[in-house]
Amino acid sequence: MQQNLVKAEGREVAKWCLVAAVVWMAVTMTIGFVASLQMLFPSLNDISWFSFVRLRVIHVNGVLFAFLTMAYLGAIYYLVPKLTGGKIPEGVAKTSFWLLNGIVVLAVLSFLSGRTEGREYAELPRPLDLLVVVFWVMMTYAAFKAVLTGTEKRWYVTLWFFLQSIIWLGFCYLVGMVPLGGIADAVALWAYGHGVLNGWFQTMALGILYWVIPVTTGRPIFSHLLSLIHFWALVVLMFPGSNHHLIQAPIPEWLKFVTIAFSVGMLLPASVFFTNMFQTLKGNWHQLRRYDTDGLALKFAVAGVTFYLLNCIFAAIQSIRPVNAFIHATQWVVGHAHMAVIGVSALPTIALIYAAMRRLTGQEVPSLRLGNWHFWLTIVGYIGVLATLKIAGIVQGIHRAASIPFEQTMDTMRIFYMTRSFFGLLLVIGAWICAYLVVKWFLSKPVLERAVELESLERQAIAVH
Amino acid sequence: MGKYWLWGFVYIAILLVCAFALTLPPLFQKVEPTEYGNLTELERQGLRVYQREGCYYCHTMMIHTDQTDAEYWGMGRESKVGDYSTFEPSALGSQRIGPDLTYVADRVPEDEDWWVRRITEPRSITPNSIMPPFKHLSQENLQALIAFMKSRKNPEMKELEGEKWSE
Repeated sequence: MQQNLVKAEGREVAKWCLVAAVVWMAVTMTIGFVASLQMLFPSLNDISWFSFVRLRVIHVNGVLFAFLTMAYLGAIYYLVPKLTGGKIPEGVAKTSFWLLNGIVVLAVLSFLSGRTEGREYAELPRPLDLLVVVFWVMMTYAAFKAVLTGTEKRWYVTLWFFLQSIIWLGFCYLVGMVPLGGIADAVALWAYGHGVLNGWFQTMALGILYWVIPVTTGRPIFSHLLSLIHFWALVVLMFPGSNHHLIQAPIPEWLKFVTIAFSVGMLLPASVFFTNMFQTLKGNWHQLRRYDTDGLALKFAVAGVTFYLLNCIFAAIQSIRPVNAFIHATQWVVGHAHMAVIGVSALPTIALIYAAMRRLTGQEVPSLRLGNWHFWLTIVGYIGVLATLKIAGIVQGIHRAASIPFEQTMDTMRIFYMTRSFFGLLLVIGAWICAYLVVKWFLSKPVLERAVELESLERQAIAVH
Repeated sequence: MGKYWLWGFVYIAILLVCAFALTLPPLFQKVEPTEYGNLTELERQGLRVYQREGCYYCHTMMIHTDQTDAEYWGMGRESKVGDYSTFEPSALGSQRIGPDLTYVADRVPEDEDWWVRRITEPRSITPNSIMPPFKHLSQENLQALIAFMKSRKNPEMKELEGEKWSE
């Protein structure tokens, strides 16, 4: 039976997804770094195909849809069959993998040539939007096929999060695709724009954390009930909070009230999650000192949990009106975007990639030394980037409050852009190290016996009692 | 498997309630355009260029409703819903890497040539600008964009001037 496990459908394509995700991560982060240099050296903008506006779109969409979505696809194909005991239809899974890669390549070409819909996060031109819908249908079919053929009686929390994320992505994407006129367009766009971050990029990462932390520490989560309370509280609160991007825009006042209330209310599920996670880690902190592959994955996961905490507190505070009025439209917002996408989504995703590649290949990480370099470069670069941007945002806010002309503020920002590029470089170097490690790992010969052994070891940690 | 279907329905119900209660009402709200929001065909084409070329990544086109912009920077009248009635899509913008453009036409020279140079070679006018040069724009698109930019004026400013004039 356990030999079957290793040959199970979904594992091979999951491995492809994870490798592709890591390569796209390195590429799209490099593009982000180049875009940051363009803000220092404007002459880099001279070729229209590679000007800031074009590269920015590729960076944002690439990190979200090429890196994170690709990795999440891998996570779904790897974990859903494992958690349900069902089967993934392999043909559909492989087709969806190639389709997503095809969409990414076409999107890059279309953005470089300036074909975009001009709506943030929804820039994909219409034909590609339709391909995304086809991709979503395939992914949903594959995942739910595994659920329906599953034998597992009780669902582990990761599965709850994954299935909700899959439905949410389709729902949200449709909301975002509809072009409307006037302020309604902004309302629908941000319902999608933040909805997709909340309900796909965040919840998938939470599902991943619920899997990575128990299997790498070897201890089950503190309370499965608490994790389900977390899940349902999030589902109820997520969508109405999406419009907090528009608190300074002329949307109806009651909508502003609702969005602020729900954004602050997100602290509730967050605190449930932290109680659960820190109780799970209690007595396990020494495991962070472990010098092995799972220890490395655990480090990324715990960093993810910690920054998630910071992120939730910041998110609640900055939705409050006076704070929002101070920081809106400043670099603070850019800082928050990086804080959320790297801290909440990317760190757990990298933890998953390390933990899953070990179980998929039965091999340890090719070089732990480089893995640790990746971790520390990422952490230092990440904190540097977000601190720089947040301080820049506060400075911009102070300038506004002191009625200093904007032209002067722009000159002041230069030093922050420089610091940001420096820390961004650290992140990019870390990303290329990760890409090197994972590609090498992927090319090495799998040790099937070891993979079987690892799979059976983790059963205990994710059992639902 | 049985009871999980029930939870699935609960989940979808929450999703639909959220969608209908909180997104749809504003969508069906028809608001008469203000003077600012009343675009001609050429200006509307200019707005599409503005949006497609990604101007809104660095420039906002919205005066904060919480009055910080109006009070501290003297940016004038805060944005109204009607300002965006004919905008498709809405070009609010989210960051200010460059200055806000809501009432840009009030503070810059009127002439066409200035605008062409400011857009196609920004550093020939503002030496320390970090704006990308938009040399690749076709003549037609550039004209539309300039027409749109030149119409971005504060309607209340005119009223004030009018009052002054009548005195």
